[in-house]
Amino acid sequence: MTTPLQQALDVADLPVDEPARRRALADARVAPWPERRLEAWRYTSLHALGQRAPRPAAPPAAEPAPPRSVVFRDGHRTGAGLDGLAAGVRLTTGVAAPATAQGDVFDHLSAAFAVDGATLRVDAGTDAGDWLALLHRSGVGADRSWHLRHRIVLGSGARARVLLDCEGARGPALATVDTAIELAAGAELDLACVNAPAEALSLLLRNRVRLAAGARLRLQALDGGAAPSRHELTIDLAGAGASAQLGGAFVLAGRRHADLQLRLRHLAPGCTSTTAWRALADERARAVFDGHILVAAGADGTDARLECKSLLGSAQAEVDAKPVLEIHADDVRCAHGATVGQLDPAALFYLRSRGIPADAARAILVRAFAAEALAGFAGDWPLPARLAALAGLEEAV
Amino acid sequence: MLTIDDLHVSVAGKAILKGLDLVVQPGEVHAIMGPNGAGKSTLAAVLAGREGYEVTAGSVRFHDADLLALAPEERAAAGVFLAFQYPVEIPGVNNTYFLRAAYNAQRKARGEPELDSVQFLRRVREKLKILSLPEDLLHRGVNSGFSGGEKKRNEIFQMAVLEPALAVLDETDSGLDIDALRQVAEGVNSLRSAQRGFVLITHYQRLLDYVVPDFVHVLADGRIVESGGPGLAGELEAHGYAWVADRKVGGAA
Ligand SMILES: Nc1ncnc2c1ncn2[C@@H]1O[C@H](COP(=O)(O)OP(=O)(O)OP(=O)(O)O)[C@@H](O)[C@H]1O
Ligand SMILES: [Mg+2]
Repeated sequence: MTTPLQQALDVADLPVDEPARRRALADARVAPWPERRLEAWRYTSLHALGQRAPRPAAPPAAEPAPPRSVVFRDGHRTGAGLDGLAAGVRLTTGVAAPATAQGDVFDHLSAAFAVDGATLRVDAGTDAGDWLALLHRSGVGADRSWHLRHRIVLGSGARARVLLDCEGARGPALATVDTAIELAAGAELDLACVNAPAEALSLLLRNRVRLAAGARLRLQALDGGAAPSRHELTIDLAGAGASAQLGGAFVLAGRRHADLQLRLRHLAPGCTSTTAWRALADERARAVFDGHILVAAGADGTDARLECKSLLGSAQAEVDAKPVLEIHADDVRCAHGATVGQLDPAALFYLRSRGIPADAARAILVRAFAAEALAGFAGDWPLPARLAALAGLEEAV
Repeated sequence: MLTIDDLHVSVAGKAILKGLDLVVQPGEVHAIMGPNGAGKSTLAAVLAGREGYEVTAGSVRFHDADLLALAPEERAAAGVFLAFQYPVEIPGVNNTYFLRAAYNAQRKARGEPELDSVQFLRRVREKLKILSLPEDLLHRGVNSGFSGGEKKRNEIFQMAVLEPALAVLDETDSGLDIDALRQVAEGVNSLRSAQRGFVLITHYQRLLDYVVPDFVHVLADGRIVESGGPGLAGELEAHGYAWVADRKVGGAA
């Protein structure tokens, strides 16, 4: 079954009339729409999105960008502050339509319509230094769609810290942000993702990371949910001794919906991964944590840990946490678990008895709970401060 | 400042306080003693506004307000402080952050200016000196991993920073070593003033050797059954609570 969204797709809306984009558009029109009977979409409905007909956003005017950042508004680069990058660090923008479009309806849409994205290349042995930010923004108003495709390529032993920030994205819109990441041997990437956009946005963040031997990925993600905000995180530990440290939190209220789809594959011996997620769902919000770790045959000596702890703030809120380990190798150390609880009423009363109003007391406890997932990361990260704001605290301290 | 009149309280449908009367004037220290399960912590919890306690009759007035009508945070802002018998561990919430949030929330509620972190830290340092609390406790999570004695001292430290008008201490002396007991007592004595009232719930004469109360009450089976001067604590220590009951029976005969 195709949807009104697909039926409304129009060749006249293509940014450039070229065969690859026409093909991708045709594929998008007929691709199966994600239905809830598919396991990966079981808890996240795109029915409402399918009834809409978002039109591609026009290129907006240029705007200033903070230092060490690129601003993308409605899927177009509108500003960049890239003076003074170290030698061996190149950040360029723009994308071509891929020669072949594979994947699902959103991959086809991206292939057909994406005109922009950042490509960060860091040469072997180079340290790109402090955080580089990709800031995603959009205007409010008519139903828009926009698509971006980023690439991050680190040479062997290279280091970079990248912030993917979707906090400035507004709705109603359909937005997809695809990031393909390749880490050569011994490369290190710190990746921070903030999705706290407007409630009316349908955001699909697809991060695909491939790590060579000894490479290291540290990733923090903070999600305030949207309609929905879905993060598909695919990580291949493809070289011996590669490692991934992942920590994230959902802090959801209203009718917001956040969904993490983690596909983490241990494909080589001696790799380690830790994944810690915290989900807080209040009011009628819904959080989905689908964490799947595969330890492939031959990935001996794997150490994999996967946990998701949740707090429900109301009887209407819902968390679906499904941590799964699939092990085909020997000599592995693996642990996984999920818990669901509620804010500790004794702690709440203790804070209130000292004069802290109920809402602030709740925010303090929410922040503390979510912060557990962001603890134990080396270096300074921008997310803890964002978390304080998302939890509703006036001061970050 | 505090007037408790014929207070009846039930927990989970079971009557715990059964007609309790108590009046505390500014400047007074009242000790409340009584057997386990008599309702002492229930009284403390009702004064602080904990959920799950049903007041079935009676009233509690604090200054000019109906205390029972206020939310817990409003009671705190009005000047009521409870040192918990079992302080709650809140990992991940920094002790200093928590205390400043509490202090400023109270000031805000009273329409007073809030303190910035430098001003607040100065205040905290002064209070630390009085209590000789190790400074590293300030940087840890609230009561998180604290020893029993450290938790109790942290309660007194909070009281010293918040400077309440009425402090209710629920067995703050239980489980303390002799040095810690002395420090807690010093903490209380340093706050004693003509404007401030204290209710000390305790099982032991020991604390009352350091903090000499103006009144001692015996709470048994949900009521104050005996009141006296500081000497009453010694009598209780010597004879036990059965003695009070016997005297009541004797007096009635
Ligand atoms: N949630 C509850 N459900 C049922 N009974 C309760 C509950 N909470 C307290 N009680 C009962 O209320 C009575 C009074 O308890 P309270 O804690 O006030 O006693 P206490 O005088 O402080 O005792 P202690 O000296 O041991 O601290 C006890 O019998 C206790 O078991
Ligand atoms: Mg008690």
